[in-house]
Amino acid sequence: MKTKKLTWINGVLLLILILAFVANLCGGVQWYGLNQLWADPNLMATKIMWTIRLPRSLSVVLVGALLAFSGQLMQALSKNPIADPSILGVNAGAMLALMIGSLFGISLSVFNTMWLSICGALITFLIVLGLSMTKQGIDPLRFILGGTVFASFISCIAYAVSLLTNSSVQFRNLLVGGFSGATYSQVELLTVGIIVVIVLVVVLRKSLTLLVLDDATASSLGAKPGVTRIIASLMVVICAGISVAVAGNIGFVGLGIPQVINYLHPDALERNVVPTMLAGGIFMLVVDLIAKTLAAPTELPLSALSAIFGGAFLFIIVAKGSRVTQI
Amino acid sequence: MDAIFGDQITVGYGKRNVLTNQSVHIHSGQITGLIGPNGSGKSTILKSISGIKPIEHGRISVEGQDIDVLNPKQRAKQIAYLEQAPTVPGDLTVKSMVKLGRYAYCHGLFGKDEHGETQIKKAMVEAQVAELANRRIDALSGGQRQRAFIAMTLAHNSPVIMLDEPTTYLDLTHQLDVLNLLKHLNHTQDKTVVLVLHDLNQAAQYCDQLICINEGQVVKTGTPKEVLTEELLADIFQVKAKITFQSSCQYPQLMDYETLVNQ
Repeated sequence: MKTKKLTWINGVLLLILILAFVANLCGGVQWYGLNQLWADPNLMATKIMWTIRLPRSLSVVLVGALLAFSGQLMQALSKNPIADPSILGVNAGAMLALMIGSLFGISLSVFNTMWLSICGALITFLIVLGLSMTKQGIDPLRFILGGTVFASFISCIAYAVSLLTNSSVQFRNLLVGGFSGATYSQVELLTVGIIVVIVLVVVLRKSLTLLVLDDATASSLGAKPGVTRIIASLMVVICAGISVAVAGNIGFVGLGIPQVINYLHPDALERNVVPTMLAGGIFMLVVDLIAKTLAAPTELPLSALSAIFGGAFLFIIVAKGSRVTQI
Repeated sequence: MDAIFGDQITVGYGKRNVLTNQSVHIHSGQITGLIGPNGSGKSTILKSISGIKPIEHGRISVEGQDIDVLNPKQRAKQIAYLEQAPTVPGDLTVKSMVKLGRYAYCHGLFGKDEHGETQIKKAMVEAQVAELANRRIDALSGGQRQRAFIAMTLAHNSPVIMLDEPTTYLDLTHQLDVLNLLKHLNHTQDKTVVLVLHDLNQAAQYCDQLICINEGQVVKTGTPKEVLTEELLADIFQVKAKITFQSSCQYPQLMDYETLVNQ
């Protein structure tokens, strides 16, 4: 019965994802039909579809999936339903690393962007993790509070750096988030990232599922929670790092999507990974479509739009109370 | 025969030893209760035996096998351990949680578990939570929750079950409910049950063997009749009580107890 429900949810989400992808591909300053893809390749509209819109839509769906999954993993890691890489400063850390790297003369090639953002995300994550550690392990409250304060601190530094070096325009995409200028090289980077993550999820899904339990209970079931936690943390860093490398600092995707999926289908983490990734892709496609069409030709800042939805959702979570139960 | 033998074990937190060179014998197919004041080392013994808290010196064997040579999954197949207050997400369903108890049996790239579904159903029926399978954990009463946790430990299909204060936070009805369930599992499946209990009357009624621990020392081991003496209660618990034996039962009961502290 449960498997049927999950298959049904995955099927519906996949259908919506395809529809949202087509809408995102067709939408922009001007709307083009899907048949434009098979039209005369010398036509401007066809060139735009192949060289600008297709890599953008692919990047959007992959970043959405990665961010949603990183949120799901972070919530399991911290046993806290309001954990998300953006709230905890991981995205901001990746962004700051890219800005500093660029200002120190490192060219922002796809490869450099990737390692810089992953390093930034990793350092920030380690600092936040360090701030939250107690003798009993991660303290969920310290994790969120320490992370939130540190995220604000890092974001302030990033804005200060951009203002002091007159580079706000250069780093606009990083600061406000966005997919304009997405390339096939970035799609390749994201594809490699998502393949690595999916392979790790398939191999480790049983262990990752036990992250939601306390260490003593997980150990008693035969798991090695310490090792799993390190691998899961690295997965969060990879997901958040490469997402920022491509789309800048977009928040709240990882906060709301896992919660919605868990509400529709309350189940263990391993069985909710696929719907969470699909829903993350859908959310990002829709928000990006709104960003590029609502005030066309001006493109709205993606992080702001995402934050509007995410902020509303955070309000609902807080109003309804935490759904994590300590028994 | 000993189901568990802890030989001269030393275990501590940081530089502080909680237990030093202590030996415990837990008989196979019996219910053993660990009793003693708060902070005496009862939970530490359970954690050490289940491999969660590594020992510094000594040796622990389960069913004749040294636990040091077992990997975590092999150990979980031998011993199921239930924390006093496990943390689980409230939106997990009972069945999803019981499934977690099969972790040690999942193998291969796709985590195959040949007997998983059968064992999960069996565990839920035995713990009387089959009808709650699709209920969320946070929608259960305290007693139902504890039975769901016990179902998770039964899914291990291990010969030994250890529970740290399984009746804490439960009202009297649910306390007896849980203890009767453990007694039933012990009788019908010959499970070795080890549990930490604070209610000495319940310990006397439900346990075949008691191990009294005080300040990291195993003070006395034996049947409830041998262990629960007026002298022990005064020495270890600072309680003055009468020990009586009702004609209808074989176990001792504490009557008219009062604290000796400040007297």
